[in-house]
Formats: sequence, C-alpha cells, structure tokens
Amino acid sequence: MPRLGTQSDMQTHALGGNFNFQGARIDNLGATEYTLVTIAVDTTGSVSGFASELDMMLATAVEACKKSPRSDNLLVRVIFFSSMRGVDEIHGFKPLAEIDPQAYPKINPGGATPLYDACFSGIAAMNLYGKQLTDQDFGVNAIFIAVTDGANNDSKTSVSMVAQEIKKAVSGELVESLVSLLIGINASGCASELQSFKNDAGLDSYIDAGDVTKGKLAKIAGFISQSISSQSQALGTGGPSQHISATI
Amino acid sequence: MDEINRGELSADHYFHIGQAHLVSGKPCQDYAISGLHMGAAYAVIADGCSTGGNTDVGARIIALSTAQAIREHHILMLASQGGVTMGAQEINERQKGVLSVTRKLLGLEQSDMLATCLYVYMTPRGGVINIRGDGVVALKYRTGDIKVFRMEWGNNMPFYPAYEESQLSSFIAAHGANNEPSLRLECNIYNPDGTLRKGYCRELSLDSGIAGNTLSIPEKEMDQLEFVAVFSDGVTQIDAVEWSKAVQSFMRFKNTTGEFAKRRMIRGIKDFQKMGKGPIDDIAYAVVYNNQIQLREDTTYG
Repeated sequence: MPRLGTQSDMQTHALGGNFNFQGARIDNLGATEYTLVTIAVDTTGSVSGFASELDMMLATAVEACKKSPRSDNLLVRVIFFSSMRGVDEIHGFKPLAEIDPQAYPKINPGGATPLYDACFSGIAAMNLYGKQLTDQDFGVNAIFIAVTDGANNDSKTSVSMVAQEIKKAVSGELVESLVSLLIGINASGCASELQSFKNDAGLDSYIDAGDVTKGKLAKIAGFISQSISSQSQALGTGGPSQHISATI
Repeated sequence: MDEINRGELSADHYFHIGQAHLVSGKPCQDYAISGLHMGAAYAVIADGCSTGGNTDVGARIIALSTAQAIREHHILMLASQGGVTMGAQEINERQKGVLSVTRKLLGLEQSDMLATCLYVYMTPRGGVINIRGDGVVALKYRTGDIKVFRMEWGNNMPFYPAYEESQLSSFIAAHGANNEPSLRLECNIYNPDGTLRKGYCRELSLDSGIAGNTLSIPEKEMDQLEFVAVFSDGVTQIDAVEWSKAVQSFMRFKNTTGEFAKRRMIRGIKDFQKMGKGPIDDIAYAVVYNNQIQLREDTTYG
C-alpha cells in the first residue's frame, strides 16, 4: 500500500522486531508542544460488511481534529492492522495541515486480528518519538485509540509487551501523559476478551460501542476527535485529560 | 570552488511570571517581542518597575515602540543605501517619539512607563545591542563559547528610559551626583563546558548608563556568532540557581526552528523548579539566531 506524504520530511525509526514507524523530522517542528496521536483501525476480514463506513469514520475523525483549537499541536499517525498486511502505517506522525484524510487508501478487509501488535506498535512508537521530542525541549503527551471488531488472534507480540510499553509511557519520563482507548464495534461476542486485554495491558478504557450503524460510526468519529482535543488541552498540566467519556 | 556565505536570521522570545508576583496577585511586568523585518531581525525585552504604576502595560508599550522604531530605522537604512548606519541613538530617539505619543493617547501616567529596555537589532551585515536599565546580554559563538554581560545599578535603582521625559534630574539626584559610579558592568566568557575562561567587572558612570550602553556586532563577526540574547534581570533571580548557570542553560538551544527560545526557557524553568521555586522575579528573554548557511558557488538558491 502506498505511504502518504512527502517522505523527505519524514524520518523512519525502528522499534525492533520488524516494527518501525515514521515521524516528521524534529528539526522541522516549530511549536513548543505536541500531542502525539495514533489511530489504529482493524481491517480484518470481519469488517468487510462495514469497511466503507470505517473509511468514513477515520476520515471524519481526522478531519474533525483540524477544527480543534489545538490542531497546530497535533502530530497524527494512522495504522491499519490485519494479519494480511500486519501493522500497516498509512502515515507516520505528521502535522494535521499535511494530512489529507480524503486521500486515505480504502480499507481492503482480510486476514486475522493482530490487535496486540497494533497496540504495541502504536504505543511503543509514541514512547520512542515522544522521548526524542522531550529530549529536544518539546512538551509532549499522547493518545492511542484502537478500533476493533474482534479480539487478538494473530500477533507476534504479547499482552505483557504492550503492558510494558504502557507502563513506560505513564511513568512520565518519555511523555507527560498517555491516554489509551480500545473501542469495540460489533464486538459483543468478544467483549469479555477485549475487557481482559484492557485490564491486563493497562489500557485506560475499553468502550463497547455496540453494533455497527452509520450513526454509531459517526459518533465514534466524534468521540475520537473530542478525546484527542481533550488530551491535547491537558498538555502542560502534568496529567492526562479527565474529560474522556467511557461511553459512546 | 569557493564557499560563499548567506546569513539567515530568525528570532523568538518568551516571558514568564515570577513566583513573587504570582503569589501576590500581581501581573507579569516583563515583556518580550521579536520579529523579522526586510532582512533584519530584532529582539526586545522590557522589565517594568515593581513599585511603579501599571508597568506591565508600560513594559509592553516600551518594547513594542522599540520594535517599531527598529523597523522604521531599518527601512530608512535600506532606503539610504549606506547613508544611514545602524545607530542605537537614532533608534532610541525614534522610540521616544512613539512612546510619548502612545502614552498620552492611552492616558497613562509616567509612573506606568517605568520599564527597562534591552534590544538586539541584527542584519546579515552586523548588528547592535542596546541596554537601557539593567539586565543581561549573552552572545553564543559557533565554537560553543558564551560571552555574557550583566548590567547592575546601585541601590537597585536602574535607569528607565521614561525618566527622560521629565524625571531625569530626580533620578540623577537619587544616585548622589552625576558621574559617580552607580552602574556596574560584569563581563564573563564561558567555555563550551560551562567553565569560566575569563571575566572582569567595571564601574560605569551615571552619564553612560543614562545614554544607554551599546555593543556593536561588526560584519566580520557574523560568521562566528550564532545566538544573541537579551534578558531581563529576572534571570539573575532564580531560586537555588547561580545566575550565570541560568543564562548558559537558556542559551543551550536544542534546535532552532519556530519557537526555539520558548521551548528552551519553558524546559529550563521546569528543570529549575525541580531544584527550588524557579524564577522569583518575572523573567523575559528575546533571541536572534544567526544561521549562517554555507553555500558553494554552484549551489542555486532563490
């Protein structure tokens, strides 16, 4: 799948274990502080019934972030995950102004669910990039949001590896704070597994959004952009946002 | 193939309320402004007197009117094609005019305008630094050396440019008599590792302090000079931190894009707050970055 963006403005970073990510060159960043945002979207075979709605949800969520008063302080990364293509970075951390959500590739559903890999890649990348930004005097916090319709069944990483990355993030050394959200859609059959994963990994919330409807996915898009904006407004306070709703 | 130089300038600034004003419900009385104008860069700070009137407003007007005077002077200098030089005296005269008109328009008292003023005005062909009142000037060279000038007035009675309007004789009287040493200049040069290489102190006359102390940056020094910063005296009043260490810390920029000075001072203050209360007095600094790009003759640039 083609990667979006001018690659010369981006730098590739290795996380180990065949995971890597891209981030805007730090030398090019001009603000005093940034919120790192990662949106991970399940593109496994089971989303084939609502793939186009997921496309729209993602584009709407990212587009809505542009209206946030903190839009100049967001660096957004989008990843798709399925065993067919593993963790597929659509674009690395880049300023919103350089992102055109309408140009995102259409979801091509297929394969099983590497949910742990997606969470590991998402949070470890924010830790590494966040540390680099922090070392360069930038104020940094982070928010990770994964949208899935199923529990993990095909990952190279483990729950403990995800938990370790979350622990590192919330210690406050790498980023000021991290909010991590797992959103289940059409996931009532595996809700208890997702809840257990949330607890074992130390994610902040598991939100069961219920069954797929157009209205529901629009609500999820709104929830994602509001959560991002809220976490960004908390930057500098020393803690995470306190205003993220646990229901959609 | 010979190398040629093209200087690119950028500037940034930051100011922060001190602990004393924060807990006593007073506003931040320091102000800073910086900018680029037709190839020149300027960086200005003003420090309002704590016992004056609405000096938070005065500090802003002093700084903004100085910035305006620099911009106007620069236009004149460009138009004159060498006929007008980078004179601090001309800029200060121009600033006085802007200041006086603005004060009257806003119905402000002279006591509202009691603020020091330090500025850097730089072009790729050299620059000028001017100090009226107290504060610190720091120059960082590409070698990593930092040269620091600190200006201190006796009895904590600095000269404020607003005195020139009508209170000059009272100010002179308060300092005893004309030409008595009332002003102390300390100059230190620090190695890249922060150790002091050499330093000296000098007493200056009241006259010279009132006229304003000017440092020139000749064109030939531009390729050696990386950053020039002006600080309010708040940098000398950070809890549990020796003032020269604070200055050096604020000059150790990690990067130079966008709000580079804000990032450095915000982080520096956070670090200092781990050791003590942080800045006791309000603090401001404004910085010009001289990015001397080395280009070869066969390199195309727009």
